[in-house]
Amino acid sequence: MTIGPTPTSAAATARPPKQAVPFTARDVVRQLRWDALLRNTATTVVILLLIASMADLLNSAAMVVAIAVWMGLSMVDATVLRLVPRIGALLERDPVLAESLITDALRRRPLQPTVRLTIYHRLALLRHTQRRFAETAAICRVVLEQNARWYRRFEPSLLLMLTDASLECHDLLGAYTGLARLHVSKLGLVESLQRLALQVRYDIACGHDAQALDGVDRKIGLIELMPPPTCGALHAMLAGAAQRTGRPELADWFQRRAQLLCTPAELDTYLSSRVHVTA
Amino acid sequence: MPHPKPKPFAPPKPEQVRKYLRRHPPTGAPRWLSLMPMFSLGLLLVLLLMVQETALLLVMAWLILGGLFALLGWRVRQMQELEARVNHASDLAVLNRFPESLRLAWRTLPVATRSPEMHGRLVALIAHDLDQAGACESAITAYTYLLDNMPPNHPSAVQVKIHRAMAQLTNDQLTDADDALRRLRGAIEPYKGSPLAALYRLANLIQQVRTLHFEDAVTHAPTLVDELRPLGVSAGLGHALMAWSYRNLPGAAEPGSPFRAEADSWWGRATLLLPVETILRRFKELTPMAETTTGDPTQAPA
Repeated sequence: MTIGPTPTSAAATARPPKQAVPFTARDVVRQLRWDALLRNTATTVVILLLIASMADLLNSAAMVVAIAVWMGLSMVDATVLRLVPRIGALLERDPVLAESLITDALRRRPLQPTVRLTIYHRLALLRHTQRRFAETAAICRVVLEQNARWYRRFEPSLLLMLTDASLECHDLLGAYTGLARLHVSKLGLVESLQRLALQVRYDIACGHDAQALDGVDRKIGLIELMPPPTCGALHAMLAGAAQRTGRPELADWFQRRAQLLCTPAELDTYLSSRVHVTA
Repeated sequence: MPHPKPKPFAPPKPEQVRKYLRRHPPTGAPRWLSLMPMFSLGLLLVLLLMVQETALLLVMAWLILGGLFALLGWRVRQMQELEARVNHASDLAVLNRFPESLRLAWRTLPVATRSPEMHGRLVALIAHDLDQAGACESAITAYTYLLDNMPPNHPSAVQVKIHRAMAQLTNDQLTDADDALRRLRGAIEPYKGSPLAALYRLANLIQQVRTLHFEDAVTHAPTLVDELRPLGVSAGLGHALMAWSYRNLPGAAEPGSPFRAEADSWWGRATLLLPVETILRRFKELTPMAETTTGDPTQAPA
């Protein structure tokens, strides 16, 4: 799968975006290997210089060189890490510029695996914002496969994106995998709410309407804490589920609430669809 | 030994809030801490040039580097702990556990002075929790502090101003609120259709009800559902106010009055989204409405 640049804003005409590095799962692994090779070589050189200076084979200038090499390596990581908050802020405001910064960052080497995977996490966020769900799922899957200790912090975010993107692509197996891992992950309140929204969507997409309505009182309490568009969408979807399971009173109650929470156009979409509710 | 009975929650008074916020202003990280890495590296270079004994030099160099890493690690851990506490306080507020959220935010504030961003989040949380706990005057003090210390054109300024105006309306500071809402009219234009515009619409409706301009309030009734939709279930507060406005129109008390029917219809919408207790906690003056009208159930049918 290849990911190219997507000029989606007016800024694209004013500033030619940089060509994004084509994305393939194999490329990510290759980049990480190159990083490791370069870093290991540089670390070996630093250690040799330190040993040499300790054994009086070279004078203390060797240590200066060693420290300079070490600082040079750290500078590459530091430069890229400085871009991360900026990319985050630009994701919705100026996706073209965000893409350009991501491309710049990914071209630099050697990077620590944590730094490179952080940039890929931002790329996944960008693709998700652009509603390019197949690519989002592919990036999330590759990053999660790296088994890095780093991603513990980003794991919930990656799994939520993977599940959402899989549902949007009607890939129920991918959504199941994401949800299964989300159920054993440590989540904060907001992430737990997002998981609940995805679980309801997954149940309805699979035709498990009764399961979607299981514990409905508790679910409603939590759904009300979600952002209004998600709250309205889930009401509409649950109205459909209640209708299909032969609970007209509950369906009517959900639908009347949904009419207050969603626009008529949104309501039509959600009532007729089984999956299209982006959490 | 029996446990002492926990004290009932009493929100801080405006003067207490003012003094507390003044005592714990955002200071940012101490300058010496920001300069520490550069200072350590400089010291290392001086040592390289001055000390001739290689073994001693190596020991000192590693000690400096080790100390530097320990310091940076300690700083990062402190910031992570602070962020976790702020997030927890924020989660409690999302779950409507305002007294607990307020207590945690209040206690965390002195630790957050070194991070202006976390400090700002905590003050906003304190203001919101006070507002929701019904301590409007204290909330206004916190909102005012927040606005006074915000950079000009901060994206959240409009939202904070609307919340402060709403607290002023609840606190019967009608002139201040009117002035604030009038000033915001132009600033809200670009946000049409957003939750911010919906909040502004709700603030205007509260103002119309508080100043007994019920006829003005019902003039825009046909667009109210659409305008308040971005607020989610909180839109129920606006629907309840619209019901109260219809109920207070001349002739609404007469049997068969269309205003009465409209009032019942709006009250039904309100209670479909929010429990009556929640509506009355926010607007006590609506109690007669709740006593005489049966709304739609907020609870899902079995």
